[in-house]
Amino acid sequence: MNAITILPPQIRSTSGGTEVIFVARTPDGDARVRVAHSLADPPAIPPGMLGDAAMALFLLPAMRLAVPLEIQSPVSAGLLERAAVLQEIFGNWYPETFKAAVTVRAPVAAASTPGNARGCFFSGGVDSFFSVLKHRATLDRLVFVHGFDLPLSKTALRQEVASRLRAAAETLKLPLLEVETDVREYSDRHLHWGSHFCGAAMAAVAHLLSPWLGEVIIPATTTYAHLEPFGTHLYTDERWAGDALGIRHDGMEARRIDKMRAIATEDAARCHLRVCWENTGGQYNCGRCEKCLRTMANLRALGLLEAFPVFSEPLDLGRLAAMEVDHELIIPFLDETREAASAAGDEALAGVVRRCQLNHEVRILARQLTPLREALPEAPEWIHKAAPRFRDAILEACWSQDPGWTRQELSRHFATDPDAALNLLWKHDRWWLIRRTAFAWLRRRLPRRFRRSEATPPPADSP
Amino acid sequence: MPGKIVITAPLIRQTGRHVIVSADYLRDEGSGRSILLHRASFRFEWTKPFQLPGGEAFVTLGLVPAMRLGLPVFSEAPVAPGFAAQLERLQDIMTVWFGGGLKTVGFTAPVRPLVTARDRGTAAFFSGGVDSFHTAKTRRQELTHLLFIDGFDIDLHQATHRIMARSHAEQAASELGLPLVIVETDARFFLDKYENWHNAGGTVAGAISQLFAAEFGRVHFGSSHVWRIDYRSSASFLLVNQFGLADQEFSVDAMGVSRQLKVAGLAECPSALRHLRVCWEMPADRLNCGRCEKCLRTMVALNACGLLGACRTLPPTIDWQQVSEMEITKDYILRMWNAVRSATTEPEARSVLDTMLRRAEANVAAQRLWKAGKDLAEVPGWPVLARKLGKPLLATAWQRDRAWYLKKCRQHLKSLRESLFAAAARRAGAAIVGQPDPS
Repeated sequence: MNAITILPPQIRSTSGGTEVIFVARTPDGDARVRVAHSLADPPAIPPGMLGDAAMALFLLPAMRLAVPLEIQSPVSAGLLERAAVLQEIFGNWYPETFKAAVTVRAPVAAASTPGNARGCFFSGGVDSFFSVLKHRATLDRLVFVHGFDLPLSKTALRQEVASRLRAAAETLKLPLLEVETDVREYSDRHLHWGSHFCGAAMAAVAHLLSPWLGEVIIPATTTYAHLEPFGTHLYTDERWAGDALGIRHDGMEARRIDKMRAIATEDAARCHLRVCWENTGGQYNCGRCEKCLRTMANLRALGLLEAFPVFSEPLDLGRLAAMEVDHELIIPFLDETREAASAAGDEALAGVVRRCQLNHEVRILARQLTPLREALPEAPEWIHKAAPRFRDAILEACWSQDPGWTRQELSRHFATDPDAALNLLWKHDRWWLIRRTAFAWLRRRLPRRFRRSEATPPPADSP
Repeated sequence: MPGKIVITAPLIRQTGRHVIVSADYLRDEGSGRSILLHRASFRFEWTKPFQLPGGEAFVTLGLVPAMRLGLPVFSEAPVAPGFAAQLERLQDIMTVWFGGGLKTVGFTAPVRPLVTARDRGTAAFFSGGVDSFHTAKTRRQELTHLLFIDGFDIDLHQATHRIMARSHAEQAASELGLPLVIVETDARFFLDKYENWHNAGGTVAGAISQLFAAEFGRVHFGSSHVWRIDYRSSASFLLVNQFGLADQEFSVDAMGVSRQLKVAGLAECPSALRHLRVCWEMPADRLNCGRCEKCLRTMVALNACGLLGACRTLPPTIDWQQVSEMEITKDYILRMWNAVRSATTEPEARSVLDTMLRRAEANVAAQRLWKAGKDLAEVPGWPVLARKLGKPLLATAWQRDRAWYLKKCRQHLKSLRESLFAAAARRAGAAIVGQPDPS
């Protein structure tokens, strides 16, 4: 079979709420995706909303496998139209992963009544708290999904996270809707969660909740200044919307550090902020991973680190300096931290963050070594502008690594201007020059039988 | 300073086919005192009685000046429902992109009813460039009009070039079988006083689209960007996409099609090959200078598709020497050249492009090296990298800054003197050290 066919989903009422199971006939065999939530008295989910959820779940895998997608449930007319644009965007962003657009076949859904409530995805992170506080007056529900960033297998941690997010929601006086899904078991086989799929997965969950929710907010990770391709993105998130569901990608006007400043006034955020993905040792926020470290650095730059007692370990500047930046998107976050630390007079923190960024620069430059080496001899004016300390460092580094080679290189270039060489020697080492010249002169005047060793030049590395 | 910007209700003057729509921007400083900042006008020809449903066009045009002055805006003319919310997002984007000089400002205006006419047309902006022709060609069946903005990329005072560009656009539209609406505007004169044209220019396209809300239900804007490279400018997708109204769709077209593909598609559009205009240099005697980076890139792209000889507005041959010497420093232009290079099959042309692109890539990397500058030297990984870069770095240093080089030599003189002296002596041809006596 050379297509992905999505059968009509099965909907079951369970003791804890509602469960929707999608079954996909794929070229690799049948795939099953389960989404369950805790709303126990659901109105009937219109087929159009199920079709929209199926579209969000399976369009990107179909593109990845380059096979047509056939959805047996009806899909919103608007989403069907936008599927072409979504494919265009992902294909343009990741041409190696999504090589061609695929055909999507689905019946068009009749208009359905949208929910009248407004929800917001809520993981307990900085972006979530910011969007929730920004729209607090108009929000009706927060949505937390088990199985997205938190694997279903980590039961104990999930319980702790859920209980803390419930407490946060209670403080915020908003009900928390918990959703559970095993979608990553399927998606991780084909796609990268962060780069490709997280936005589509959130949209799928939102569609399943659309009998209750008319609009869902997805808190943004970056600002308008950084529109690099990512799974959840301004260009794509809002295009996953259906006719009965609006999706809003929110909070791009504020930098992460501004968001932290804004949420610091809220008890729920101070007591329950959750930023960690690695959860080393099963901790809520391990305090050791890249995200914990830069969040703590941000908080320290704002003078708020003590106000957020949510990290398992104190901020270790040594670990921060050695932190490996694995995504370009992190660089602007570090810029913000450095700027705030400098403004607060915390030069130690600013220096450490700069060191971390420079480590990243060195790694990037090392990757560009070949074109750089080819171009440097005819490089533009940059060498003129380079700070003296930098130029010194070039030579010092070469000298410390390989004095013999550096000496040879220096003398090679130096020798292209013999007058300068002789002048320099005369000025700074004239006694050596006189001794050597006199010795040579004397040797030339010695009888030939005493000049046997003349043919041997002095060793290049002799001190 | 307290106050606000009041945009007066637009005035429409139509004499036969000639239409002038204008509105005043008044700075209201309170206590009944107002200063006229600018009177903006749009001039064009329209055969039917022209209708303007609201004041959105003039609000969009005045947004950047208001943000620069930090003054709230009040429009006397009503605007479409939801327009205020769009302005908020537009301002958020501009503030983040173009810096602190632009401040988010408030907006108030009455709300107008939606335009419900079903017989509205569909227009596309048309400058005569590659993107415009692509949109005009691919959406030919849907389009009813083309819109040419006079005073947008060509200044109004460039009379000769303007006439030439207008004339070519008119002929192209005629050959495409579509009426061309030429909208003459002094908007650039207004906006240039407050903000860089690169940041503000896109709002003019938005304003002109909104000006025709009663006539066009949909307006296409042929994007020069693709999804992956939507760089910060007022013509970027993200900004331009905010110009739609509740009753008018503003569609950014062909973000998924690379420029090279669009150029290849010109083969099916003979009109494009007769009237293509890509140059920003505005030479007085011809449409395209044939020498600037954009002209050369388009020529190489056309050459790769075998279309260069057929294009009447560009030189028929490429000066490869000039191509090989070109300095590219911007990343997005480098990407476009890479696409052109991928489409080029002639071995000699590929070789020239390879050399030029390798140098360009290295220049971009060298700039990065320079920007990180002195701080890089303190990073633990730097010595290894410096050692690997050492030879070309030292050679460059020698060529560019001998004083520094000699200073470094002096520091290491004790270790250097043997090799220095020997090398210098050899170079000078003097048998001072280690040379057999010629006698």
